[in-house]
Formats: sequence, C-alpha cells, structure tokens
Amino acid sequence: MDIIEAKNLFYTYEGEASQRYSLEGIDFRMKAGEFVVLLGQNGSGKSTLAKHFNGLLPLQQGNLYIAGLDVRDPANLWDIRRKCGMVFQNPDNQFISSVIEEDIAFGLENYDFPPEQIAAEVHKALALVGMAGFEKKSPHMLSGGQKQRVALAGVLAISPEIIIFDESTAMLDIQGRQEILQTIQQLHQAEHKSIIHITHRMEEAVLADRIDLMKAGRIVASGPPRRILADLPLLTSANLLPPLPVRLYEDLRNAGIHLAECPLTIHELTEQLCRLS
Amino acid sequence: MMHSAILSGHYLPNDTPIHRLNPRAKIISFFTLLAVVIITRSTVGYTALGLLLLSLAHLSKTGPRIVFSGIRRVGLFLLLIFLMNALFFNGDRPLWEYAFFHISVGGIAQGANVALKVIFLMALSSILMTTTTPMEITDTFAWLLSPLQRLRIPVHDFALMISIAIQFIPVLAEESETIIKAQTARAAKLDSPKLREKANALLPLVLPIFISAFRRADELALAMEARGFRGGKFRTRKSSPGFTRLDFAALTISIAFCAAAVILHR
Repeated sequence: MDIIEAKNLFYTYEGEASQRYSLEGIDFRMKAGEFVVLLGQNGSGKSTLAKHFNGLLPLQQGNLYIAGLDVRDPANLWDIRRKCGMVFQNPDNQFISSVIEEDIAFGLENYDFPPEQIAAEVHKALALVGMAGFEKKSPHMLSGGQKQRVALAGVLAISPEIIIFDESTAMLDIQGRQEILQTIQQLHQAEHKSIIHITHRMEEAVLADRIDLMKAGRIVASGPPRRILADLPLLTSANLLPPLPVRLYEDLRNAGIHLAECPLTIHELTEQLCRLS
Repeated sequence: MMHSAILSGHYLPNDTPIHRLNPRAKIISFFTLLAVVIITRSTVGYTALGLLLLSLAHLSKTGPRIVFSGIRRVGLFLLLIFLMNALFFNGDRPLWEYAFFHISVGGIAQGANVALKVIFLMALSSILMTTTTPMEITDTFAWLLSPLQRLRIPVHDFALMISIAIQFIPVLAEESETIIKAQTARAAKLDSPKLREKANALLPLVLPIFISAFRRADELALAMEARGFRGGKFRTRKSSPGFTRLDFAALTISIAFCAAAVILHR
C-alpha cells in the first residue's frame, strides 16, 4: 500500500485576489521508504502540497490518505501529524525553548509520552542527528546546520514514518546544507524513513529516488532524477535552470563532442571527460 | 547569536544545588525572597540580603558578574530613581532647599532604598533565570495559576505564550539590528542628534520589525501544530525532580528570612 495517496487535490488560499488554484488536480502517490523531491520554482505549489500531507492545510477538494488514514476525518489529524513530521525553512522559527532537550521534548509531551520515557527519547533523537551531548545547550548558540539538525531531532523524537523537509536547506551555508543532506540520506538509507524534500536546487534533487516537477499548482512530470534533470526543455518550461553538468553536456554535444551519458553531477561529468581523453 | 549570548538572565546549564532544586520550590522561595526585598528598608536587612544573594550567586556558579550584568544596563534608570527621591522627596533632616527642590538625609536614604530594592530584585531574578529552564518556569507558573483553570482560563497556554515571547526577544533584537543597518545603509538618519530627524527615521523601522515578528509567529505556530500541539489539555510533562531535603531547606531559609524581615521592620 502507498504511504501517501492523493487524488485530484485542489486548493486555493482564502482572500487571494486572483482566486487561482495553488493546487490544481494533483495526483500523488508515494511508497513507504521512498525519497521524493518536489521540485519547482517559488509559488509552484510545493509547500502547499506538503502542508496537506501534515494536515496543516484543510482538504478543500479531492482525497488524501496518509498511511491509510483519511485526512478528511478530523479524528485522524493528530495521528497523521505523528506519522508525518515536517521540518521548516528557518530553524530559528521552530524552537519553542531556549534549551535543546526541552525543545525536543515538546512533541513528545504533546503526544502524551510517559515522563520517564521522554529523556531517553530526547537522547535517541539527538543521537540520530549526530547532536548527542547538546541536551542542555541553547539552540541559539549553534551553527545554522546544527540548528536545523536540532529542529529535525524535535520531529524525529515522535518517530514519524514520513519526514517532509520544506526548503530546510534554503537558509544554510554550504557546510550546513551538506550536514542536513547527509542526515537526510542517512535517515532514508539506514532508518528507512520516507522522505519528501522540497527544493529548487538541482544538486539536491539528484539524491532522490523520484522527482515530481511542479509548475503553477500541477505536477507536470514525475520520474527518476536521470530522466527529469536531463530533460532541458522540460526544466526550462518550468522556469528552472538545468544542472551545470547537464548544460555542459549539451554545450559539448552542440560542439560535436559526445559523452556516453548525460551526467547529473560534477563527479559524473569529470569521470566522463577523463574517459573521453 | 550575539544577543542571546550576552542577554542577562539566559539559562546557563550547570549541576549545582540551585539548579537541582525542584522548580516549584525554587519559584516559591523566589517569590518569598521578593517579598523580603520589598519589606526590607534597614541597613541590617540589606546586608543580610546582600550576603544571601552573594551566597546564591556562588552556589549556583552564576557569579556576581552575570548576576549584576543586567544592572549596568539600567544604571541610568537607577540614577534617575535615586535623584528623583534625593531632590524632590521632602524627608527629615533637610540639608538644602530651593523652590521645589528638597535635599534631605531622609530623601537620600529613600533614593538609596528604592535603588537598592531594584538592584536586589534584578539580581534575584537573574539567579532564577540563569538556573531554571524556560519550560520549568512555564510549568511552575501554570501550576501556580491552575486554580484559574476552573474559570476556563487556559493558564498553560498563557504561560507557554509568555515563555516563547521572552525567548524570542534576542531573535527579534538581532533582526531589528539588521533592519537598522539596512536602513542606515540607505541613508536613514538614525544617529542624528536632532530628535525630530531621529524620530522620523525610526518610524520606517517599526513596520518591517512588526512584519518580521508576525511572519516568525506564523511559522512558529505552524511548526508547533506540525509537532502535535493542541493546547494545554493533552500534554504530559518532562519528568521533574520530586521534593528533596534541599527543597525543604530552600523553603525554610526563604520563609525564615521573610519572618525576620517582618519582625525587624514592624
């Protein structure tokens, strides 16, 4: 069974002058343990769709099931939020306490974890993101990447099956971004979590099992990174700049130099160029 | 974040007897000692309180520098309080009088009394804040106000709201600094000696700061909801230590100080 099953979702924000749909007939399916990237320019509907998965936005039209639970039923809301955690863009806006262990305990307290179990769960969640030993520290004293890992630990503490990263790397420097991406990959590969990563960075989209490309509230393409990211006309039509190796591959081809396969990363490009020489 | 690092009253994790106190016992003792500060007006009383505060600063490993760091910031305010009393309070043993100015020994003593009260209150609050986590304070206030729940007042939500508002102060202060720098780079006359120009330049700061605060509040609300927040009703609490001999000792000492202050200043 699919862990997320969305059929014909429509959504429009109240009070929006144009009354245009932010989501327009979205069909989305995701298997347990899958790593999906929602790719698209700003305003394409990625975050709006993700907020439906966590029950943060009400279902206006269509059907949505998270781990078999109907989002339309208000009785399921808290179970859905427990199954589907969400990490937001700015870590500073996610902390409810200036002591890390208290912040991570927040979700556990909301879900009535027994007090004697909370400390152990906090420690476990921090260890999962490589931040064990930071329990008594203030999140405001950490680097951007560390802050975002603590925010992720706050979500992981309640053991969600699905984790949504809503542009969680957007405000981080290169090192912070690498830290989060490594943690995401570790959660996907070692912990078998289902991951939805919202981004418009091509080098992050490469890591996914599948990319769903969004434009103006619709999913316009869905497939493995090698198919989506190598499709220059498709990316251009979605107002996205194709990855640098793909652009170089095209330029080389136009100049009469043919590589065996379209590279998606600098590493792949270097390998192919070395083979060529 | 520079601001949070230097903000006096920021929780400083440590393993000291003051940190180990049950938060409820600690906050009740704190309020009892606040009463002592308000009652006290004699040299003996202030000396005893001063010694107690220094002992607490030492025991909590907070140190006098951090305990009194906040006081430096309100130095001007303290001086103003002292001068207002010293210059205008019509006390006994007058020294000099002119029009509505009355300088007297009684006025100077009154000024020193009020200024000392503010210093001691701030030092006491500083020790509480540096040894107690925000959630411990939130939970204790919710516990103290719990009788109001019968009147359907959401006391825990209210306490949590205050706690979050306080911890957002350094974040918003940093944001304000960024906005001020951005406006200064666009030739805003924020450092103009003319009050009118300064006031005019400050007005455009207010709107972006408010927008930023509302945006942050909105994101925080979403993050809290996403983590299953449903108000105070369904929440358990992270385990807090039970009452120990140390807690009874803290309560006994603070109550003894309060009784002594009442007797001394009858």
